[in-house]
Amino acid sequence: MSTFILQKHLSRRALLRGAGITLGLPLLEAMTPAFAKGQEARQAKRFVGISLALGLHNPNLVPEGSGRDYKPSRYLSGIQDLREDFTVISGSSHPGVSGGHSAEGSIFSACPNARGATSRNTVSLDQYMAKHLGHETRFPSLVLNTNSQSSPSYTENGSMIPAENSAMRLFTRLFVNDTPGEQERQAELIRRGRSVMDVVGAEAKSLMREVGAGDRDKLDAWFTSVRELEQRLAANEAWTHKPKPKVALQAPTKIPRDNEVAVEHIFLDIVHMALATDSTRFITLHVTGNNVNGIEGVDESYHTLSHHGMDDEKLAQLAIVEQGVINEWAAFLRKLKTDRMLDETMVVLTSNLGNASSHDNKNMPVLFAGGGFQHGQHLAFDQKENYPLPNLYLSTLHRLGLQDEQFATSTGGMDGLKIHS
Amino acid sequence: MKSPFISALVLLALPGVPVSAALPAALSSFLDQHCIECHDADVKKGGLDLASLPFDLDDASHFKAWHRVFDRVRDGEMPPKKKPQPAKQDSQAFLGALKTPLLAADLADVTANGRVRSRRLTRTEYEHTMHDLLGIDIPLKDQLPEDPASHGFETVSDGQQLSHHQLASYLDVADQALDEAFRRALQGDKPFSRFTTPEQTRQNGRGNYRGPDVRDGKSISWPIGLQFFGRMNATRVPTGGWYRITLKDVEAINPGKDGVVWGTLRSGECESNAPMLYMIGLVEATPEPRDLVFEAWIQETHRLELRPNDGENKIAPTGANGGNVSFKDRDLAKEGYRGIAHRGILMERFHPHADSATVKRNLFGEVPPRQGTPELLAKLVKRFATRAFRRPVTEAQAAPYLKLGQQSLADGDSFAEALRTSFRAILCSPRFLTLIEAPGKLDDHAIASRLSYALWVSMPDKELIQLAAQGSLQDPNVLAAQVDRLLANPKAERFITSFTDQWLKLKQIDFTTPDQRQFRSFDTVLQQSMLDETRAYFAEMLRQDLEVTHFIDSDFAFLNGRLARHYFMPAALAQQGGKKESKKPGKKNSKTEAPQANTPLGALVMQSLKPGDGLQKVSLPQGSRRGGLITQGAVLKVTADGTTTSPVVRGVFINERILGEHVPPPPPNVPAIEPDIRGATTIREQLQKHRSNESCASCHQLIDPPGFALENYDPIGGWRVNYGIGGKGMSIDASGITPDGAAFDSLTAWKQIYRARASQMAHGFASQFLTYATGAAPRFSDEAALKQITERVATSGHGIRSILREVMTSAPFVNK
Repeated sequence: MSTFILQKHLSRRALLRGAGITLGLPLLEAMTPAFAKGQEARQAKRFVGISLALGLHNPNLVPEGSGRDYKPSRYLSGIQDLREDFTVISGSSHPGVSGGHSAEGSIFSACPNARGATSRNTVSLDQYMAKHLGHETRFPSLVLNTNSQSSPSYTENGSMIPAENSAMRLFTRLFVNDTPGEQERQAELIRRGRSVMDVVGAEAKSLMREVGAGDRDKLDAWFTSVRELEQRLAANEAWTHKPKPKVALQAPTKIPRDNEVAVEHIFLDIVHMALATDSTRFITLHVTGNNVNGIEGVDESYHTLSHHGMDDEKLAQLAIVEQGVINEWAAFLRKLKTDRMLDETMVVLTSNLGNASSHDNKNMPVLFAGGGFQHGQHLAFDQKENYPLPNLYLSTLHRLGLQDEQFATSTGGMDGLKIHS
Repeated sequence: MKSPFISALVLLALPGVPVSAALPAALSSFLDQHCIECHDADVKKGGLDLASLPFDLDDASHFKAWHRVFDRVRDGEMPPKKKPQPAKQDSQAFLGALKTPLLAADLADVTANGRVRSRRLTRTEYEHTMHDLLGIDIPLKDQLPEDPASHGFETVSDGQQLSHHQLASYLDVADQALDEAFRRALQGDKPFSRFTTPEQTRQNGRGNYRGPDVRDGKSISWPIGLQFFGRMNATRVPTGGWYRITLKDVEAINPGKDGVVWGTLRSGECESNAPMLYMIGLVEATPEPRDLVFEAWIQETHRLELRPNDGENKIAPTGANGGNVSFKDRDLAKEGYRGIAHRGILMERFHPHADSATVKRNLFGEVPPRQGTPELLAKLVKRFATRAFRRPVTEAQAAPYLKLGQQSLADGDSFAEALRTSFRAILCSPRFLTLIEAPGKLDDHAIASRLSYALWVSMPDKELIQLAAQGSLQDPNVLAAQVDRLLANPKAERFITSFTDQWLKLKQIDFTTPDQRQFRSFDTVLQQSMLDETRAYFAEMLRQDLEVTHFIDSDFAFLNGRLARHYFMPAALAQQGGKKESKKPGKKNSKTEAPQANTPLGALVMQSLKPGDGLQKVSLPQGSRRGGLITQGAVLKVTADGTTTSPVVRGVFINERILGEHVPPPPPNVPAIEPDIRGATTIREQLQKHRSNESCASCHQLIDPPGFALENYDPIGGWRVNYGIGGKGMSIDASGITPDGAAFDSLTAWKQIYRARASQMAHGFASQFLTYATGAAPRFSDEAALKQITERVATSGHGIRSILREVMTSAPFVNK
């Protein structure tokens, strides 16, 4: 082992990097799912949350008319082949959530942040699902971002999970097997990582005695983190020797960084395969890239376009980008449909911004598909007095068989959303 | 869901339990008379029900609510102006009666728990610390999760997060850092030096030719619009690392009105699928050839891109089809295009922090690693732990870390590997990653750490540690002297960067890209110059201990030619105005105010700059529209969205960060104003509707005035007199009335009013710095200390260096 430290350390890092991927855990007590009694036969199994950092221009998105007879809006007219597969929700948002861009953290947690009352987030929907139901797959969840490491996925103690933002690395982790030698090396590294965690945990304990009672919470976070990392390292050891699935998808080689819509496409292709191979069942993808000038007819940055100030030229370019984003979402749904996975997979497209130009967090854009619900409708709620969007989240939990009575500020299940009989 | 009112409701529900049992009589009569009408269970205005708010100040949420009641009555915001006002002595009596229990409760909590919860190193602090501890210089912070800011600062404990993801990245990054340190210690540094001749800059890799023009023994870059134009394949670096780059005989071709040609030297893959470019430095080419030297971290396989970069440049045709450029059969110099020429590029690998011998000493001490023994292992582990934990470490405390190394030795690993195993665990320890402080008075080592993390963004040095060991840091005079020493050290630049990044939000400078059609002249050189300007200005204020009012006004500025043009000679205006003036001398442009460039004032500024000297301190002539932080491009840019400005956003920023006013967050369910640049309506008109609502007005009369005063400054800090593209929209009205009733018609008049408020600004700045430096926002019980600081600095003219010194010798700083 004397040359150990001089070796390239790529795989060692790849192994321990927390970014975006939580490793599969053996079934632990805390994770025993609270299944509803008398489960329905055809329940959904998966959840994919796609979130946009820059919103969607509501006048182009929200259809005229409500219910099943709605008239497709500009953005939705091109995806009417999927009309019966998704629901448009307007006039809803997360109660008590404001702050423009800074509300990103609440997209899937719905944690009220208004009036500076709290600086700590609560668990996001995907992580809550993964905690209860994520133990059966190699990755309990995937937290992805097309561009940066920021994510709307938060742990139970309110820490953001850094997102995987490299499509190449994501592909490798999901579908490329390590050599046996590499697997052995990884096992050794896991052993070392665990022994470090032993010491760190003991140190946190002895610090408890040195600092004040006020710091207990902070040290608790250390304990919890140490314990969870140990569990993950252990789980990873078990998965190390199991072969990864083979897929009929080429690993991405070039990422077109000047075309955010094309990047979204690449990520969704991999997401599709991750679901098809049952590598994971809970995924968030945060779309945050700013470069869109590689798109025909667009020459400004995405963020600048979102601050359109009602200018016609900007709105025209913004519409090109946003139509692209929605079309990719639709293309993803079509793949799930072809694979007969859509009824078991709930897919939501939303954003913290209902109006990116004014940084408004009300009237969030929401498209909800799959999961075996009766779609083909526009649930139009009050634009002024918004309907609580956490109700949709609660419905997704119920659909997975979880019996929760509340999620964040929900007041009940989603009105107007029925399950296909 | 837990709500602050739940316990109140529970109490109400229990018959026979009087809710306000503990409420002092002195308070209840005032509340009954002035507050309860709106703040009872029925009306519950603003979500506040005073009738059932328990007077239980040990409970954090109840304390917060009563604290707010105190502030609003003290500031005269409550009861609202249109309600009957309490007699002054009644208010005073009420505040006095409320203050005593609030203070007692807060002090009790501070005594038991400290005013700060233990805080983690931010990723910026982590990186600097690893560099100082090990002597390495590789970038680390981007691999750790971003730190969320709370109360404006990443250092604030309340907002910090810790998860197993974070821990996993600490393990990772510690590995990388130790790999680098042990590699350099054991193998030494290999020198690398390469000269690229002008001819070689033309070598092309695969793909289109987008390299420079080479003629007369010079390599020349022209203002060509193609992405990555100016990339040079021969400058690809063999390994990631720090490089010293010397551009030989840099020369301006067809310099502009500021006497130079501006450009950028950047590094990147320079391919369309990897378009990220990393700034190395600004190139200010002068007619007289001279060498320019840059130092930067360059990633493996990246190459250099050198190009003129000036939004006001005339763009040259590519001269070829497709994505290629060609200079065959044309002479761009003759055609009048601006160019940057040079005679070759020298690139040398170097290590900015420490040589490999120092890295070796940091790891192995003075003994060669081959002679490692178990005794030496114990000694080195303890030594490293002492430095990493920033305080003395006992044998017993070092034992668990040592054990890992001993186990490694027993497994047959080398001495170096055993040492590394122990070090790795030390670098993941909470004793390294958090600032450990026990409640009460801080011990000397904790003070040393607070001091050096505040001013160096890193661990204490030898001298601080020695002073701590001697117990000298409890002496305010010693502490004050150390503040001066630390600020005089080059490491204080980290403070300037880190503090202004957060306090003035400079790290958000890239968050928005200015609208290309409105702000065609905006470019990378300008943006970088803005950042440099604001940091240089703040550094100067610190150096000279200038009065805190320099935040809002000054008779000097730090400018280079590019900034001076932007502020005083904007392209569009210069053309219009210039032509008119030359035809009809002496006659003013009637529609718009005369741009300062074409007045003697703008010319004066331009004349005082020496071309080629970069950022220079220059006097601003009287009547100048610049001066102070608040008219600097960087501040004006981060408070706008790239397309429009909002008096609300800028007003909140100026109030909170500069004036020291607390602005309550907006109430829920208020629709935001839809920005509109079409020109039919102004933001002022839109806001007017908003302000006509009485409950909105109470805050907006505080928020908006500084924002209105700044409306003449567009989203990139340029001067404007009309809204809309090309200045064709409605004219701008920069007038307003301060919350205490003083009217102003322009920013100049607004400044006049606030220049007299040094004491308020000093209080505000002390609060900002205290938050940053201790990791907790000021609490109720800190008010006395802040008041004292403000009074003490009054004698020395409210200088900001004095404020820092007073804060760092104050009770909140030297206590947990």
